[in-house]
Amino acid sequence: MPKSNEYDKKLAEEIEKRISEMESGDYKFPKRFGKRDYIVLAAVCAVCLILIIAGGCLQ
Amino acid sequence: MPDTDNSRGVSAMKENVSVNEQIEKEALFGILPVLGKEKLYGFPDAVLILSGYCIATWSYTQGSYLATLVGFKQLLIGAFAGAILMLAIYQLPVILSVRYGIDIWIWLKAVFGHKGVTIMTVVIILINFPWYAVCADLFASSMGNLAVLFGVAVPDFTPLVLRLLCVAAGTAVAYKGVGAITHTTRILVPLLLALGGLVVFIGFTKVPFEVIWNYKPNVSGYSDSIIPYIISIEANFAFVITLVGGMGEVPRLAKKENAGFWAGVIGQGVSGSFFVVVGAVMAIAMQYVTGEMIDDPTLMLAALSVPALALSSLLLVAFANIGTQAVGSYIYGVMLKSSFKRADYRTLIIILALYAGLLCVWGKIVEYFGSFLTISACIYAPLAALLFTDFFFVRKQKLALRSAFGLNGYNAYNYTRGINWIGILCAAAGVAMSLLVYDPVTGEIHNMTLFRLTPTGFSFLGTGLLYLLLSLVPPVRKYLLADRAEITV
Repeated sequence: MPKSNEYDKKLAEEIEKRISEMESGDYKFPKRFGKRDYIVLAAVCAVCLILIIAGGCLQ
Repeated sequence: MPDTDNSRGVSAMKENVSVNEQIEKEALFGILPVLGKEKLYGFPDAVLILSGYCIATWSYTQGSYLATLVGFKQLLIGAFAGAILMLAIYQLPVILSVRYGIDIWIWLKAVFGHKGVTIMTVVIILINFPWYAVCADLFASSMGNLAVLFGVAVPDFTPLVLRLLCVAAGTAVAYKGVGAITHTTRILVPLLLALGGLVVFIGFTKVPFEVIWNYKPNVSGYSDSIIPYIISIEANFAFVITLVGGMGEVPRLAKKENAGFWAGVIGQGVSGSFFVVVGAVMAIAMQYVTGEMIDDPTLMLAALSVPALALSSLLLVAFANIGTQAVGSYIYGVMLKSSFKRADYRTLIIILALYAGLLCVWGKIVEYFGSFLTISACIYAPLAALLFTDFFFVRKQKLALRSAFGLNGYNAYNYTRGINWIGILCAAAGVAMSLLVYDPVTGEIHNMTLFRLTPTGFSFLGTGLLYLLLSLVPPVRKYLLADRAEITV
């Protein structure tokens, strides 16, 4: 079997193995971006937006 | 013939080991999804690496450019609030990179199709990698200036050699891998942040504080005083959105979604912006002392400080350029792997180094850089908007991973012969929206109302809205969401 074909086959097998592992019930995904993160994000965006608008008045 | 059989067996085994080694490398240097147990970075390392990526002498160029548009207080607001706002919005989809351990370009296969992503990847590399030739050019000019300051005569070919040296050194660090990049940035970034603090200190002590704090440029050439302020905000938006193509590579190795996301926002929006402000302080101080607005840190430190400090500081800045080249090579090498699966990571970063090296040999990259920046700024905003809208509103954070990786029998993202024409159409519309508002070459404003949103801001909002509305049209929805039956995680 040519090396590139062998490589593609093994790569596909490894991808399949990893996706299957993620699908298994006991796989632990990284801690999610939670509600508190979204609140902090919204606050950061709001403060930045207010500062940018206020900056326009500093002529 | 036992010897022959034995040697054949050894040879086959070696080949097998080589293939297995290659496959193992795919997790860190390639396209394999990085599993939870393989994750490398907590928030501190991720933020240091991304800070190292953003701290380069081009930050000084950006700072001195902003100082020609707005006063120091407005500059501070734009550099931090403008950059952080844009980063906090457009980089939010990096949480997908942390969650699935994949690059954003794997997700973008759903937006553009497999062939569409290959086209977009190559376009982004072509328009983005000249940044690294600029980086090398700044490195060479700074070192050349330093040699002149110390009375060292250098031959004519020295700048070219220095430019190529910068590219080669950065590529060598990237060639050694993620470990070398991590160790380099752990030492370099804190030193560079300290250097930035020192430059601000020198600027504010050698020049009266009020001169910098109350600085206002001459903007009498603009018909409305708000225009240069909006252009400065646009410059900050455009400056940070250029990072979109490579924004997922480091977060995919992060252990928590919020760590991957905030590392990008803080590394780029705080550390990177801090150096933009440092550049502005230098430029304003130099204008006060010499009458000229100069953004070269060598000349500034030599004029306002002692030569020994200039030398040590400049050596650090030089290493910063090499660090940027190293992280950039890694990021774009991995990005190319998403489309060119069979290519070796190290071969790809050498190709990238050759491209940057050719631009260095050409030697006119700084002269034509405005054109590169103009084209790139028009493309990044639609790209970022499409990813954001697709991830949150169209695909609702669910991707058909097997189709995205192109596994046999999974064809949800093949669309029309490998291209998702809805995604391509929206990207093209986004470029048109940006140019509809403002011509960055002539500086002509076509629509003042929309210009207040900035060209990048309007293009981002407009592209996202267009894609979302199109996705609600039933036949388009069916075309885009052929993957729903395959969703498993």
